[in-house]
Amino acid sequence: MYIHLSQKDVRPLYEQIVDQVKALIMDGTLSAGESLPSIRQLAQQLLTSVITVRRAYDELEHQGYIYTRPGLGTFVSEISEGELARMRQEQAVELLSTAIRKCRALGLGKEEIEDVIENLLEQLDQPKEDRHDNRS
Amino acid sequence: MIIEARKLCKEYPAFQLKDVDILLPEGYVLGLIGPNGAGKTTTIKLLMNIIPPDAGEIRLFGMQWNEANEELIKQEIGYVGEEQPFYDQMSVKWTSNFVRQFYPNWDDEFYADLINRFEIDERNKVGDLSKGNRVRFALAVALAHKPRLLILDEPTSGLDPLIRHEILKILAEIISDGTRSILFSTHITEDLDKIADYIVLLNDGRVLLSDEKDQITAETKKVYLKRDDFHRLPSDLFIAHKMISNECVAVTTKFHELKRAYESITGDEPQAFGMSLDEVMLAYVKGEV
Repeated sequence: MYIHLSQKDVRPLYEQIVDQVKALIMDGTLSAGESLPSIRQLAQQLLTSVITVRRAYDELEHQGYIYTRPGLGTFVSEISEGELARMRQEQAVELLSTAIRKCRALGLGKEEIEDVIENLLEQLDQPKEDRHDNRS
Repeated sequence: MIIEARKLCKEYPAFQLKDVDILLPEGYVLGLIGPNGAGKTTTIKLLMNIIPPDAGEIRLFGMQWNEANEELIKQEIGYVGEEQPFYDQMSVKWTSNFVRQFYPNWDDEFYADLINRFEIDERNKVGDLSKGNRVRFALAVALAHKPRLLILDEPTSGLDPLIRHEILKILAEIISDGTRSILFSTHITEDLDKIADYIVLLNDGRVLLSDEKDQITAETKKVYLKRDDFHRLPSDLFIAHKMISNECVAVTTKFHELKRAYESITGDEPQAFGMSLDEVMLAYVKGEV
């Protein structure tokens, strides 16, 4: 479980842990039933405050992503395909709304933003070799 | 509680420490920060019973400093200061044997392990150790009796980032079983950005800020605003600001409140950045951004 913490991020450290654990669950790196390091282990590993990790675990547990069995440890919850799809959707909305807000701040209109997104999708969907060919 | 100190006061002709509270539960790191002369070392001396307080109450491991408890408390404390008062002419081996006799709980295996990890040659004279190795050695000696409270008073000033990182790793290891705690006084707050659980900021003998570090970093943010928007927001949200023509950089200590207020005025999210403890300290102490 690789987690990167940055002091410069506007999100508090615990939120960075929450977001990254969620992402690891969404992309399948962490699977249901898998055990997570203990709060103190993870704090030691990340060289971060115990309180930070505890708060992150509390939040993840509260949101249903992980559960704790006293004496046994902390585990990744069983999450249904439907729920995973909903989580991905939620994440996409969050990422795109930030991007769209920033584009608006630059003075781009609806159609211009749509164009950019469409073009990008086309470019990114092309196989890598094609992209390479186009460039050369 | 490892440390329970309330309303500590100490008066000197030119300096006064007033109403300082230090609370530290088992298994955590408390960072004591503040500019030089803020009262950090005085606070530590009071906690360690090197000087008596004029007023206030101190309990370490639930015990008050008195004749009956003195030895019990001392056995549970490890201390590393900025200067390490060793006999420079004596060897590392001699020095550790000398300290060892005062601590029945001295753990030879643990000490040997630390000395190995630090790659210190015990045949060296203490005076010949590099600055980094001298601090490493002091740390090994302070930890060998497995104290429940490790007190560090500016031990890492003047050390390079690699050694500081190594020391942080050892500190994280020490508290990982949940029974030991660390009081870390420093003006290099970078080390605390990472591992501190609690922060007490002293300035001019008083506590300016005392909270969980996460709470501080969650609420204290640097925000970039338009001059007009800054003036439309309640001024008590900020502790410092700087105008740059029509723009304003401000430090808020109530980020969530600011965010709500800003959103209701502009319909947008404020442009905000996290701050290091250094920047937080500067804003609190000097009112500067």
